Amino acid sequence: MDWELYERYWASLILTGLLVISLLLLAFRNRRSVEHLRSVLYVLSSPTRFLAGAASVEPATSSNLSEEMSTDKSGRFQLLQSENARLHQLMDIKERRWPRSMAARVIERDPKRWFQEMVIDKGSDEGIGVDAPVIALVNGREGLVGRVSEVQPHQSKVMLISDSLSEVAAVSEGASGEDGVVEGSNSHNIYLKFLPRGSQVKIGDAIVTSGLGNLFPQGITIGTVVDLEPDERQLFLQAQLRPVVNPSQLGVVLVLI
Amino acid sequence: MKRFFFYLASIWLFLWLQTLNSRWTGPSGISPDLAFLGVLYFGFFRGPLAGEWMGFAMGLFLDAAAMGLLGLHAALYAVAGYAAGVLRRPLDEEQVWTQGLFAFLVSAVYLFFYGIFDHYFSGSEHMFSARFAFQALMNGFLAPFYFWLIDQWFRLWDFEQRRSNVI
Repeated sequence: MDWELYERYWASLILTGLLVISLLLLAFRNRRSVEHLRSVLYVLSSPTRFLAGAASVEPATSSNLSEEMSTDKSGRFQLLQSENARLHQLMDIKERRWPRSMAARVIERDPKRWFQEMVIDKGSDEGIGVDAPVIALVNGREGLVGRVSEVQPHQSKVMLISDSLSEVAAVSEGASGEDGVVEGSNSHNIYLKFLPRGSQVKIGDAIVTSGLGNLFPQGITIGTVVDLEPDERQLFLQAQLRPVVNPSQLGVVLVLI
Repeated sequence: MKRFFFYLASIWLFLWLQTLNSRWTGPSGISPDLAFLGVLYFGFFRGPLAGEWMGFAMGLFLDAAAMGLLGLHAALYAVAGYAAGVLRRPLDEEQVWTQGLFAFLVSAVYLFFYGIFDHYFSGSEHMFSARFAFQALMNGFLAPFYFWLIDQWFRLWDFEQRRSNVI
């Protein structure tokens, strides 16, 4: 048998074995042994993250990348000034409203899971736990980013409110004060669902967290209503929201612990 | 033994490059998958066995590092590495355009299956997004240069045979 056929024969056999192992890992992903394996692999790959962290002084965001394209000194100065002001606001909010919160930097985003998650540089060793709410400052106002869905010692994964699995108890800030559940759709759009058919919610109303369910604190802005329509079953109204936070422009977030 | 260390070092190198890449270009939403291109290189230039092993190992590390579904990237990368190895013969692997087109097509197929698996296992509502297409295009565009870089890395190790049938 020539080498190529021999190699292909073995490669097919081995590939079958590798696929079986992969499927078993996926099927039993919540078992302790799989979690343990994941932790071991995570530790083994940590030097690459350390080196990458050392090599990247500051992660690029779409906003500061484009801004840095203008290389003149005044542009840079203004950029630093606005960044400084933003951080000051964040620290101010932290001290006034959330003294136990922790500022974290967004360090990774996977384009394949763009509307679902982001990775921040703080983890369980810094006191962050699963389900901790994550907020950001937008024009001096707190906006909801999502919640921590997974923690490792020094980094955490944040489930964004635009993830289709995300559900947030919310209420309209308008005169109606009606409540519902904000759900993501893995796209730019998020929806306030389960509003009564005769709802008084109007386009332009701000939607904030209601505090029900004890997962998110009350009064954090989620978005504003841009459209109202009956839901698929025609039983309720649903409001399409424009999220107040654009995760693409986030460099630093606050994790409420 | 030297070959073993070469593969180990290559996995770490690609992981490092991919982590850097995620941090620098990830937030823009348009970013290549350098780890995947590394797997394609091994399949394309070193055969299906090298491609699938490299893909499986790299996928496992990526799944663990990115806190994703352990096994998802491992399975898809292993198949991609195998496919790259099996398909290399009918293609002229030295041609730049062949490398680019091949990387684009395999990336597109990989992202298609990634969308389906991710939808099934993590319950995502939408299977695909425009960013998938951007990533496939970026992979195709970067592949020839990236393959050349990895080839230089391979030469550093001073193996007797440079290409093909070297596992």
